[in-house]
Amino acid sequence: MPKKRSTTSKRKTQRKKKTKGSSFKRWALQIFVILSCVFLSYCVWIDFEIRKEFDGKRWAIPARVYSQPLELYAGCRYEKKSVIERLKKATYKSVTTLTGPGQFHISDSSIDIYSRQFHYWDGVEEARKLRIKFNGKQIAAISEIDSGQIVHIIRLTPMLIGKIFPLHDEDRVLITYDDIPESLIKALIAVEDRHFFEHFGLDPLGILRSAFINLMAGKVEQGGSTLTQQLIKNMFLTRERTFTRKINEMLMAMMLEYHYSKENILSAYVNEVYLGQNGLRSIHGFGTAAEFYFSKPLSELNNAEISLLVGLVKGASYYNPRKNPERALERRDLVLKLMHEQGFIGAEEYKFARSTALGVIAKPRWNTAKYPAYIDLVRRHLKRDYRIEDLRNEGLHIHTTLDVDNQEIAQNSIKTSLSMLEKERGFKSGTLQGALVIAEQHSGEVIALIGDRNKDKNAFNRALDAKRSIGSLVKPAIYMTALNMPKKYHVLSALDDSKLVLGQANGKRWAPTNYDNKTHGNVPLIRSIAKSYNLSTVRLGMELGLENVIQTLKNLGVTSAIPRLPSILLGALNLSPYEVTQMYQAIASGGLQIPLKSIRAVLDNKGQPLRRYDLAVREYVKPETAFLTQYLLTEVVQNGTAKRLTRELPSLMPLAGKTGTTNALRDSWFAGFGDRLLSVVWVGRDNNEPAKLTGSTGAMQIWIDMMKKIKPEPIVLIEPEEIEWRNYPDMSNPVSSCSQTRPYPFVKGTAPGYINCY
Amino acid sequence: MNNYSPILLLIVLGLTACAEQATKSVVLVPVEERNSPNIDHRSATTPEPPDTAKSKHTNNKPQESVIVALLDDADNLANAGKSEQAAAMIERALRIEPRNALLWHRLALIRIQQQQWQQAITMARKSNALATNNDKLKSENWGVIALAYDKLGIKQKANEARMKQKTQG
Repeated sequence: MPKKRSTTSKRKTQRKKKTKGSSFKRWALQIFVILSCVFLSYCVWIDFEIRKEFDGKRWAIPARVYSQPLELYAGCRYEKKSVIERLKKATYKSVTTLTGPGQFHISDSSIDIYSRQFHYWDGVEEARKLRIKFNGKQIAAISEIDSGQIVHIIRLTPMLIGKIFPLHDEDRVLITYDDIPESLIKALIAVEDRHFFEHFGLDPLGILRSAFINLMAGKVEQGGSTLTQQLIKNMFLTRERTFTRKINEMLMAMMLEYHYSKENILSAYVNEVYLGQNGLRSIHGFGTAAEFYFSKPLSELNNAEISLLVGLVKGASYYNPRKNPERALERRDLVLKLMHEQGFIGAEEYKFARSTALGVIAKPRWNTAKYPAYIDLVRRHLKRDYRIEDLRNEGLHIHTTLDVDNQEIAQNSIKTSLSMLEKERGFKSGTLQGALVIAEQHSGEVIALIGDRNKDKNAFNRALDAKRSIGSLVKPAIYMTALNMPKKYHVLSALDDSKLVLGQANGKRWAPTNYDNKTHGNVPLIRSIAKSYNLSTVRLGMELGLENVIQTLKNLGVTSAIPRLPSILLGALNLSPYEVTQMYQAIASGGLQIPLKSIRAVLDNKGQPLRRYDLAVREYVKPETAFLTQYLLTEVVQNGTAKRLTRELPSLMPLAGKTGTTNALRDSWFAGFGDRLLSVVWVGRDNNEPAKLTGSTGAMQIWIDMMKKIKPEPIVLIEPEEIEWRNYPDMSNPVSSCSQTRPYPFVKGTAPGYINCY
Repeated sequence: MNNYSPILLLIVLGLTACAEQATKSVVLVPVEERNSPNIDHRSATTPEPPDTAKSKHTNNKPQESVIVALLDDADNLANAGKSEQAAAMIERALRIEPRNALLWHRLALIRIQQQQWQQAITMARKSNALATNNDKLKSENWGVIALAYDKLGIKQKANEARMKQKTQG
């Protein structure tokens, strides 16, 4: 018989078992505690990271650069068709009935507009319905449609002409929660997260439901992730599909929901979600996507358009409406269907929305390549006052002085004229280059700037950086120096245009010649500048003293180094077209030097004013001296080297201007102005070889072509008090008979009693 | 035939040539004294300026209402102490009528408000240059200039401006 185990050994065994069991439990408990601690620490850490990132989240928002608005008022010369063109450029839509901002309706003699709201420096111009009545080539009246009240002046929304992007090339238009359209929220709820406003970051029921729907459909129609999870994935995690990443995503989603409101989360989502690619730039957020695909603000999108964008959330490349329109359409229609099924849109609206085309524009309209030289100028001006990081990331709104219409006219004129000039001279296409600047002479606002004959290029901004000899464009500064001494010089002073030889510091001799290689003896001052004689000009400049001429150039705003050499009297002075424009601005404005500017104001990304670039004036030139110089430059056009203007632009007369040609015909210049617009044009070759063009055969040709379309107002010479007019023989040309007289202006008390006719 | 005819003819021709030559090289007497049909005696000393010098910006009623409206807004803003916004309004008006003497005057006043004395002087002078026959406005401008020079501590110019203000007014 087996021996029974004694009670003691039984107890020992049980004790052993108990000891083993307790050890295991202790061990398990310890492991559990350690793991829990680790897990909790991990949760605390990711909670901290989420809050740090979310609280400190500052999206890098590019600066937005706008053109000047089109200001319309009763009496301004703007035809109906021009206003319509401008509205279309600003992406206004032609409709039969105005229902929302960004629309217009054309009648026989008027246009009804529903203007967009816009933040200007001096306040918000609210969206409103307006009627513009036309009377021939001008606006007769503007009124509010609803009240009938007369409106004195309106500003049509400026055009977005470019952006200054963050370094990581993300593009965003920031949308606050209040600005999110209701239809967008509904579409997101319908498609992406039905219980968004109820769940705690995860939606277990939603996961099950979407799994069932996808199974029934045989394809993935709905995702199981909540909007919160998607936001976490976009903001914090990689796109890898791993179990660990999924766990992290779920944990983080719950933590985010714990700390932040639904509004905060949804707002972040709407601004963060990836919705497309524009070359190297990624499109983030619905605000940017609305502009990118439809060239409209988000607030103006209809249900069909919103649905298209919501459809992109699942795969912006896969459903790209430009590359895969059928797929995009199918996806859009699915979003509409879900919205309808969940009661967010009615049957009729659903039917109508499904019947519409995608409506996506071919390419975005704010392509920076459109006006790269001008944007370059704006950027340089901004750099004086803002750090580059602020420009790239703070979403500043830059209101510039660019006039889009004139900019495009200028660009076309350079392109077509240069091609024509190349053919005439037997040059290969692309041999010649050009640059030009147009400025409002009384405000210094740069309204157009061209740096390259190719509008998309800005490898070298010739308007700002091509410093070339200015040739005879320097002469007004010399004559202005003389006229600033009215007791010694006046418009009819006799100058000596005979042969001249000057000794130089290096021992060599300099013998300038006239363009026609002739001498002309005694010539009146007015004729000397009109015909651009070199000998009389150099002699005059030497009499005045180089220092005085240089001082005049500085008074006119020239800041580049000016060599103290007699050759500067014939323009051996290198300036850019922009600098020449600054120089002529003081003459054109009647003596007030106003620094050229390209920016009117800077606002923050909410439209609050930050800084205004106000009108600042300097008076270095006496008004009577400026007046007399202006008068001489009208003579250049009437009877001098720019006489061709009188034949080509007869209805725009009188105008003032100066031609400039350099040695060996390397550079061709023209500076001309009327009552408000001053423009300087340069033509030449980048390799400094002869362009075979004079000022009047080259640059002036572009100027003429441009002004035929711009139609500037003729110059108005308003003489200062110190000026009087006296009759003297007409000495415009050497062949005058001296029997005819004409009035000439003089500073009071300095008109000569006697004068020779020559 | 008279034997002296060729000689007479030559003499006449010679005299004619001399007369022409004399005309070309003659020093012209002051225009006020000439009795030539080519000179308009009404404007012997101050002739009518050429067309280039006549203002083409005569009263354009529709534009006036815009300028008045903008000026009204500017005045309201200036009175409310918002000088920068008032200046922006006037600059907007200047873009429409850059040669409006009253606008330059108002801008000068705002610069006084902003204590930008030199800007005020330059703008008041610009207004004067455009004011032509408006003696009242010119007088006001000289007042602005005098005040600004006072603030700059340039007493002599301030006094000169005050004198002009009195004579203009």
